[in-house]
Amino acid sequence: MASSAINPGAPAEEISAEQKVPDKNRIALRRTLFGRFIRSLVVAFWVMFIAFSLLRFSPGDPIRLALGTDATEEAVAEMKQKYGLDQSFFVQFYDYFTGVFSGDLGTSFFSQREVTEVVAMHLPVTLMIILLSMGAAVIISIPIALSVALSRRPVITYFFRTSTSISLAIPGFFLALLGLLLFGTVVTWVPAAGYEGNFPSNLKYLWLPALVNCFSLVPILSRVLHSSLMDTLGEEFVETGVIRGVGKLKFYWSYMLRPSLAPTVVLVSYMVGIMIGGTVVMEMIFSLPGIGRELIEAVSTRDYAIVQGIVMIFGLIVVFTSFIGDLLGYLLDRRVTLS
Amino acid sequence: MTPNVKLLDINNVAIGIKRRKRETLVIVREANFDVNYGEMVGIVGESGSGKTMICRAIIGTLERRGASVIGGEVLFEGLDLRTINEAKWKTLRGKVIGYVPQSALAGPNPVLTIEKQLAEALSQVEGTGSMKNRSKELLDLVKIRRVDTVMKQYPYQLSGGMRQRVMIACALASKPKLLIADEPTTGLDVTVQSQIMELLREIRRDLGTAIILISHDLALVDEVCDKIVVMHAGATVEVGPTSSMATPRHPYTVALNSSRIDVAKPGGELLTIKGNPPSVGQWNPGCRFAERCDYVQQDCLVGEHPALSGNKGEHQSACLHADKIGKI
Repeated sequence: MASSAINPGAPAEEISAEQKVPDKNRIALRRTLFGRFIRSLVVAFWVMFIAFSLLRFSPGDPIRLALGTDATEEAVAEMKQKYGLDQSFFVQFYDYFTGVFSGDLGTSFFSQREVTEVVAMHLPVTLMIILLSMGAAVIISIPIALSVALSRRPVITYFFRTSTSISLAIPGFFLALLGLLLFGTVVTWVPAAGYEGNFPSNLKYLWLPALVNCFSLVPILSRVLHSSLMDTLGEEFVETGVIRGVGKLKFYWSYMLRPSLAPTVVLVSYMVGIMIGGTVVMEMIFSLPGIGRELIEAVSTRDYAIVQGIVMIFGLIVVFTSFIGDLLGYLLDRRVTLS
Repeated sequence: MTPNVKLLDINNVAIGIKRRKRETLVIVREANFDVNYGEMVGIVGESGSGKTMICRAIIGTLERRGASVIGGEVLFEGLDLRTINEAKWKTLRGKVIGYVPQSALAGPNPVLTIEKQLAEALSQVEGTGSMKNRSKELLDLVKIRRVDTVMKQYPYQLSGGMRQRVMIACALASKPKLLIADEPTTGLDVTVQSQIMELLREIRRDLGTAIILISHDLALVDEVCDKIVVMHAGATVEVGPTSSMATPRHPYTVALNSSRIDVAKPGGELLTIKGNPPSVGQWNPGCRFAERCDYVQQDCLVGEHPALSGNKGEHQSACLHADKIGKI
């Protein structure tokens, strides 16, 4: 500002010069984002189509399952007509597809519940487990990976590798049972059954499944992050940071973590997708009313509407989270390409 | 600028990596040279001769790599850099002593825009005017055009030469008395290389900054430096003003000279130095160049590595038979 008093022309020139420069970064980002969005939509459509067709082509007749073996042919035909199952595959798909856009995912053959209702009731439980597990895993992994990478002592690296391998090798269901035995019966920190949906009170049901998940998540995340950190540590620019004398926090963030985090962030986003199907084990063991259990049940009864609805929602979540993951990775480190 | 006052004095410096249960691995021993204010000094030698280690000792980043100065003294304006603590280092490193890292491509932080990196360097020192204007001045100084665009860009969007210019700009932010350029042109093509060299020369002329230029290219150093330091196997084997280095007094310098591409006869064979530099920690007794030397005598193979003859500031050689060179 001091210079503006001496030379009033200079700042104005500076501003106009800046406006002329087209911000190539931003334009390119917008373009790739738009491209990725379109691609996500295409993937989502295919997910929907596959979920829809897989069940139609798999053996087993849901109507006969629902009505029982002694149902009359008229009753079967009537119900088929009611759910549109007498029409051709493509007509059925068209009806379903247009229904999705008006928020109608169909109705269960058995319980007559709306699919949207089922999803709205059970999906939050599953998402909460995933969110808790992943959040805790990230919070635990970063300091572990960072301190192991910075320690430079071979003993610590060795211990880190061994313990993560062991932790990864223990099956989740075994740990879950062990945890239930310990925290459910020896000390009663976990209610043996039941569930409350509201946020703070549901934590007492969810902390143990999340902890069990961490035993497999933390080793994976911390090892990926550790190896990226080791790569970063060998880079010349870290030395530049030391020489520039940047503050400790800034050094850890801008010179260590930020250049190393992209692979981990992308991995986290994909793991969320994997977990959404994998949480069903935890839901079963801890008898939590998650969406995975609903899906298993629906598959065993050939409940078309429920299965395709849930599978489609899963697919959308995977597409969405991997998109967010790639975007975050790109924002952290521009060397990552968003193709 | 006071002529002939030593800005930096490297005296018998030894650098090693201390290892548990094993003896210390010595990387550099008997490094000897000095740098005057505003002087441009070139350090040449093959890979592994300890050039970069000496730089790190001067900039105080040896400890990060597990190495340390284990002997001799590194005097910067009379202050022994071995004795100072980290707090004092913070007032020197990147401020009074600037550093341009080895590879241009990996030097700048990949996740920060050029503007942010310049601001980081500038925030360490006091100055007048806005950060933006000061950054622009720095980029002007290193002759970067389209300054507004470059400021918003990330390093990967710039060419190698541009990145190196940015690194030089960052190093110059604090107007250092000494700028260390560790092979600043590695990986750059020849035209860019000469531009960078010209830039360093101008910086030294206009700002009076003393520059240590590390290179394995004797021809390059010969062209721009006032003084040449030749390193071999962790020791300074010859030191002298560029003019008198035209008549080398150490067989290693002779060999380096004759392997220069620019002096080779067209169509003739390119000369190389025979053998490989001795590995760190596997030094034979006597002169460490003896195995590869054309002039080797019996007394070269025994005792300690020969010390530099003569006084600092003169043309010195670490060859026992310096007088015979050129006469065989």
